[in-house]
Amino acid sequence: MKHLLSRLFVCTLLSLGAPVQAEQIALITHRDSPQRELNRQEAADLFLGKRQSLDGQSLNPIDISDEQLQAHFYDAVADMSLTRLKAYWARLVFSGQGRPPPKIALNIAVDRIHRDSAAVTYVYASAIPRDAKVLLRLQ
Amino acid sequence: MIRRYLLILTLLVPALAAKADERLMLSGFGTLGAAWFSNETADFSTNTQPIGPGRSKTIDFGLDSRLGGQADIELGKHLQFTLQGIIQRRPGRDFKPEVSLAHLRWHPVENFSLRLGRTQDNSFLASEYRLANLPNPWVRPPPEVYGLIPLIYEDGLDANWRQAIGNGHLDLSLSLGRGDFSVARSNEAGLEAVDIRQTQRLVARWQGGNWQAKASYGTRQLSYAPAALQPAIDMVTRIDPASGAQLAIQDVALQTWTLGLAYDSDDWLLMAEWAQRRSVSAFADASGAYVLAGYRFGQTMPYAGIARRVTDGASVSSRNPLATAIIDEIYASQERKNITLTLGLNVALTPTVILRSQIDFIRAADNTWGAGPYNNHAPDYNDQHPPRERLISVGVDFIF
Repeated sequence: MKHLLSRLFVCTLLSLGAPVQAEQIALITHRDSPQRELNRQEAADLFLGKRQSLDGQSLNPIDISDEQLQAHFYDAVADMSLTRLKAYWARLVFSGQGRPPPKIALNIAVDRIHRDSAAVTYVYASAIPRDAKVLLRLQ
Repeated sequence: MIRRYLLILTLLVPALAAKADERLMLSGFGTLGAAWFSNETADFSTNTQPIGPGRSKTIDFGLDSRLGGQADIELGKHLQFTLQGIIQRRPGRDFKPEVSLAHLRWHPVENFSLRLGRTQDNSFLASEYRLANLPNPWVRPPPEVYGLIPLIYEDGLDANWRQAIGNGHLDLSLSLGRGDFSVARSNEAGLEAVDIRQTQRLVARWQGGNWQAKASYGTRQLSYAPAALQPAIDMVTRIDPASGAQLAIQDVALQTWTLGLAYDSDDWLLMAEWAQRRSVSAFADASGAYVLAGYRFGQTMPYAGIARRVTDGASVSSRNPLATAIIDEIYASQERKNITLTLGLNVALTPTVILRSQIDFIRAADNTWGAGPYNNHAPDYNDQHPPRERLISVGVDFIF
């Protein structure tokens, strides 16, 4: 038993030290959208409500209700934890100055990308829909 | 009655948020707090609170506790309506619901928006969301600064212009409005009405990366007849009519200046603010400032701050010795001067629930009535040598 516990301890230490390969995230929109590729700052501004359009093109950002994916996206695009993100939107919402993007399930968001040329959302890079246009890739 | 039902609806409907249409967003916030104050000859209260921990209550659950609900409705691509209701202890010691936001927001272009209706004073870094405390680092805003402008709700319009500058942006806001509110009489039942009209305020805020800087200048017409001061003002008026007229708080121009700077990253939080108010009247001029620093260890953030409040002296004088003595007494009765050291610890249980604890060490200057929020002084309150006090607060802030 003692031997097993010590092996578990060593395995835990090794796993903590092992490099974790974070999965890439892609920002996607409708395949026929004329929108050019975005940089990280533009994507952050769009999802934080600081911009509603780019180059005169109106865009509708959509948040994903999967908290792990959402946390990964905001960490990659704006260096923000979910706690800081909630605080950020609480400041705007409860002062009556804005509202966050709608938050829906991933499959519904992808479906909306196909129907709305202004819709923009994020997915894991390994699951980019075949007929979507990629605007940005984030590590 | 209709307004009450509307408010109750606003407070209850967030429970139905999951089923709401995307054009309707329902949300809410709340704080459950408890506070203990070491002084038993005065209460620690805030501008809108009639009592607090200390003399009136050993442990007070009403100082910081509140519940708010909000409905945001998209009326069109560029038009939004916001209604926010709140339940908290009011100056009359009741818990009747109040409308804390009710406005139309029109944003015809990306850089410009206009709000018409009820908004909240935006002079300070955190003044527009001080009621929903979750985004803030403290149990309550430092009263040394935030207590200088007691009006929270304003009815009118404000225009906002945003300009991108480098990696950040500058927001300019012009507010025009008015507001009425009540304050509780010290040591007495009953309320005193405060009427504020013709508010004009310009606010500039720059945000870039993790930095934010804010400055504001505001002026408004203040009318207020405090029962504690009015007999003395009337006496001066009989002796020296010119000075008495200056003392009267009737359509007095009250000017305010504020400056704020904040840095907020995933690790460090730094905040500093300064504010000053001025008028030519019996209403004492005052100024205050604070600095606060916190460091996030994951979901836990210890923080420390220091705040100072001073009453800046008389704005009205007289050549008549008797009138001068009375005027001196009017200002002396409002003398508040203190330094507060704050230590606190926040633990984010989830991104929407934060557990808070805070201790304030308050040192009031000799020959003053203590810190700004001291109220309901007992006859044996030691104003010559106010003792050093401790205020201990715990609470939970949440949003939904």
